[in-house]
Amino acid sequence: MRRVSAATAALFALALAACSSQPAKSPESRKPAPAFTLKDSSGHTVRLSDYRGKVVLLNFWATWCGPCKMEIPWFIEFERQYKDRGFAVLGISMDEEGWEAVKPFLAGMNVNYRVLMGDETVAKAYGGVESLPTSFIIDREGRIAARHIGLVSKTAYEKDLKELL
Amino acid sequence: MRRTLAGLFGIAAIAAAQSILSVAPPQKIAVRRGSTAEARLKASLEPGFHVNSNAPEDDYLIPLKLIWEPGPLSPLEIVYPKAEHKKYPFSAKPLAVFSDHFEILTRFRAAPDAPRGPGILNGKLRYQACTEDRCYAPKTATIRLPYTIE
Repeated sequence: MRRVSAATAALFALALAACSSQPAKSPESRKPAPAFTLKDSSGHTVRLSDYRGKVVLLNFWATWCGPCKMEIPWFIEFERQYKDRGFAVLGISMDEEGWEAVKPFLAGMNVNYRVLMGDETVAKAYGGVESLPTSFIIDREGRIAARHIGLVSKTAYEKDLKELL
Repeated sequence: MRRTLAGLFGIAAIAAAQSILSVAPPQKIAVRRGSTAEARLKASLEPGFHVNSNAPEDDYLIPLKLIWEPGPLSPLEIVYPKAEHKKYPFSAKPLAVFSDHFEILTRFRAAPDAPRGPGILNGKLRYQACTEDRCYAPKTATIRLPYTIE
């Protein structure tokens, strides 16, 4: 996935702010997902480019976000159900308390997918992430196929994933 | 290392969150040295938003909290309103929240040797707001309480 410049990221942010939810777009109209490098709960460096070739559900969330908590069991199920078909869920936590707050939460929810600690750079790159949850469905070529801001139905995610897997 | 979530969320989040909750400038209070006085803080939320109460039932939820900076007036008690218990599409059980307009009362005591005259006591109201389907970064509203010690 290409690394985006600050100007590109700003334009991307403005475009994202224009509307709150976008179902799966046609492949030719998809934009590259902004690259990022973040740490997971084990301290390992994770790049979005590591997932090239997979469909990725990128979910910005926080432990204090009730709607985010409702989605997590769905994502656990998607990870289990579609993992062998080239799919991965990547959570990006926006908790200000960092792993101290997030690790016990993940353990309590039995989260089976990878969670990374977010930062200002990745939030800005993905449009500012004004509210949570905010999720992006990224296709196998590293392009954003769909976006959901706020709590949407499980079937809305399933529809997106089935189109891409 | 602690980071501010406002920083994490970026400029767009800050701009969006600023209009969710507003606090009316509190009325000036007068208090005699060694005695007490009350200050009422009136807060309003935009329609469709709620904030967690001062005592949310889930440990992961961020409570509403009013903090006063040290000064010649010491807060004896902060009285939050009675929480509403509302059920939201994302919650299995009702949540203790505040919505619309609410008032927080603080009882202060002026030190017996507090300097006479006017002043400003600074406070901070921390809150975290959500709608029925999304949540916004925690924010802190700055409060300036004018007072006179007699």
